[in-house]
Amino acid sequence: MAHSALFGRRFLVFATLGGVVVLVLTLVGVALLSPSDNNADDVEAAPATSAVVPPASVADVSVLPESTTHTTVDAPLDPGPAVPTDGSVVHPRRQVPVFAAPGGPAIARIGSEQVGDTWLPVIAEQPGWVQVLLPSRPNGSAGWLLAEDLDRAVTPYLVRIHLRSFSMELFREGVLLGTWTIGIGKTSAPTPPGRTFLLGSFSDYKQRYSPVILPLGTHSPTLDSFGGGPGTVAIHTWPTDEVFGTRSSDGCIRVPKDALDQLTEVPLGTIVLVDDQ
Amino acid sequence: MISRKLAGASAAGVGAATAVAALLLGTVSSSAADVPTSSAYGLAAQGLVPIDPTPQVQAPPDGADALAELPSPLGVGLLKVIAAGGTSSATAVDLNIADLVKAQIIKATCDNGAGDVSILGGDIGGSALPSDPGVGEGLDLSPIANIVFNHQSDNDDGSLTVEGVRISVLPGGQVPELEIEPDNLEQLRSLAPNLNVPSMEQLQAEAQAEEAPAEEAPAEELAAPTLEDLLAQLAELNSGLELPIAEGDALLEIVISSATCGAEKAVTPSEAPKPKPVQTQLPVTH
Repeated sequence: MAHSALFGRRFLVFATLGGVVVLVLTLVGVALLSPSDNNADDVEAAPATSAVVPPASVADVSVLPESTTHTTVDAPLDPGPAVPTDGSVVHPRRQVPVFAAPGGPAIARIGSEQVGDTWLPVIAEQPGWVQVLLPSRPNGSAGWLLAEDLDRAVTPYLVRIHLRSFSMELFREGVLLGTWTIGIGKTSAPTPPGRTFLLGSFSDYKQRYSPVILPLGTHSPTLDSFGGGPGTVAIHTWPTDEVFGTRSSDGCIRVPKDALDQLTEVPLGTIVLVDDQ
Repeated sequence: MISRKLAGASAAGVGAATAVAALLLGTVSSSAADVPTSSAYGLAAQGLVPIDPTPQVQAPPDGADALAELPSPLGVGLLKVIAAGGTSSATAVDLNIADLVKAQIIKATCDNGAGDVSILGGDIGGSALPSDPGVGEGLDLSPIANIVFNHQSDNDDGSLTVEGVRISVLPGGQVPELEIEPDNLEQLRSLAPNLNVPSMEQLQAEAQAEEAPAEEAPAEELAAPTLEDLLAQLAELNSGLELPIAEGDALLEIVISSATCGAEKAVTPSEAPKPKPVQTQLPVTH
């Protein structure tokens, strides 16, 4: 460790000049004490800035309820609006706590796998924190995760579902790749509108109507469960064409096979916007 | 007598304040290959009492740290600065400036483009300072003084400078009408024994000369000497004080605990992967 050369002659000069500094500030002090001065005791409030909000300490993540498509968690809702994001998606590397707000209480946990790897869309950020959509009920659940626990990536895709016109659009980097006529949920078991995301991609030998099924982060609003499952709404294809352009499913979005083929390219976490148009 | 009036009322100086600030930032201009990734200094001042940044370290070439012990009356007990890679810090210990600004510790840290200041046992004129001041939080006593904690600024080379505390005395360059009394001169003499302090008579002569250079006033109508007169006299009597100050500049600007560091290159996030379908049984609302 080097000692800076403040000794000897330079030091003496330093001390002298220091005296002047003291003088001026002493006079400042005099001025402060004089009755004509105002605001002497107020320290201006600072705007909140770059300090990272520390998390509420989470002693044991495993005691928290897990957020999955099977569960219901009392989480805040997506503040919206139901618009595309910047495409950021995150993947927790392990079980991580989910917070109601940055620095707030932990309300749930979420792990590295859902239906395949967990990838959640980022809907907002603060230094050190990201707000994501959650796969659990109620629909539109959102929570905050610590950024340090997460892998980050970007998806260039966006899916739009228009219920009234029975259509689906797929975009990549803002460019429309295709439009398809789709089947949607019947009136008694409708496809719910709102902002959701591609949660997973799976094949199930018991659900042979589609070679691949893409569950979303949303559920039937009228069916708490369906077929032994939690009522998850998914995108998939159908063996026959007459369903397209009709309300025929119990919530799922039925798409032509070539649409499904394109959708299997789309990364998990991609935003799906369902509207009533 | 040559008048050494300080910056007056006319607001011709544009950019002078930034020149002062640039000097205090402690960055080193050099070729692109030599730009340091981090640096720090303990104390610097510009204006009436110029003090080069000291102690000062920068990295590369190597990680460096320096320690300086400074006795009063300067008002800082110890200054420690460290710079290594993309991180730097400057810590001032036992700060006491004219019993006005006091702190056990003021520490500025800069870590790859993110800055923070922490204060321990700090107070201004009796009001406790926050231990974690927000950026730019401070006490604006303009036109007398402006005290800013955690002043952060982005430099042209993309680095960030974080200052523990920046004290600007007479920030507008305008000297307020403060009358000087014999007590002030005594106080000054006791605080700064090495300083040539004018006598009251010298001050009054200076004040009188400014008022009516050609006339001789009767004794009872002598103009009261002001701060401006005192500063002018001090500059005359002491080499090493710099006057005049450029118009618009603060009379004196002191920065304590300054740390500078570059930002890590922003990582471009990779494209999210194409999903691999898994085999599972999840009944959906087909």
